[in-house]
Amino acid sequence: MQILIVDDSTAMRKILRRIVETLGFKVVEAGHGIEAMQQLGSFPTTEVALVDWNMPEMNGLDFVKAVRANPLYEQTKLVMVTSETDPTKMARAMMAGADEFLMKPFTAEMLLDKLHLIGLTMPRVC
Amino acid sequence: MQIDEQMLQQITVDICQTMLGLELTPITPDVEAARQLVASVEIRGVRDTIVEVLANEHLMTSIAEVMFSSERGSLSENEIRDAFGEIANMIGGNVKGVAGEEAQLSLPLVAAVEDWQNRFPHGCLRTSFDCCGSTLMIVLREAVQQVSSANQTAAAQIQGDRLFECSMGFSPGTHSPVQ
Repeated sequence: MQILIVDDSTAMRKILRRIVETLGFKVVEAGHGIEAMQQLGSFPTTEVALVDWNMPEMNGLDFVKAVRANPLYEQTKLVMVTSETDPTKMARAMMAGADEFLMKPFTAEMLLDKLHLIGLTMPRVC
Repeated sequence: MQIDEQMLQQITVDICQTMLGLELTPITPDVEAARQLVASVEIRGVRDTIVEVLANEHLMTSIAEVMFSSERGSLSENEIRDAFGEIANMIGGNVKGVAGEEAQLSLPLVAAVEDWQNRFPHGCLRTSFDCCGSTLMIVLREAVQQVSSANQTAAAQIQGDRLFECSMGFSPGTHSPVQ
């Protein structure tokens, strides 16, 4: 099972990678939305994308819109993982097709809860 | 933006403890070194506010090593700046949330500044912590619309072929992202 981590911060990608690899997921990474679309093209069966909001090139909201516009990625779950705390923006992301929202800072347990909420089966429970 | 020192402290402690497991102890603002790294984000809304995080290179390297789970001395300068920028991004996002205003959060900017303790304008909000034996300072201040070119470039530092602008006096239009 594969997760795509989309964040312009290498440090944040490392933190997220560490958590989801512990759960048994394979991980691919992207530094912004355009790169993430390319990764999805290479790995179309990716089950979940963890998506930051503020990124250069293509932000998280535009990425969500682009993914939802492509029927090929209909089954891919999208979780916004972001410092954005504005409820209006959260609503906009959900309207655009995001499945869940996780605010930074977060713990491994909080991320795990969100993955459960979107109905993800863990490959391995640590 | 209605935010006080206690709120700013709580946001910073939450981020550093939740994400990184770091213990922060509030202290009276103190100057411990002339040269500091500054990571900043701008909250662009009704009033433009800049959130700055300051630490010496030793502390920032230590924090970055925690974020990357890396061995001591193994991180590049870019990785250290990336980690520092992400901390500013998280603090800025949470400050924006507490303020509750419709606003945009910029991408983080990271710079090294000299003589930074003499550059704070009157009226800025700041709070300081002891973290791993060094000082971590958070500053909130209004963005300056018009600044002199001398001020803009006072602490500019070239890293590789990229220019990191001084974060102590820029207009919103010059707050470019760290790529």
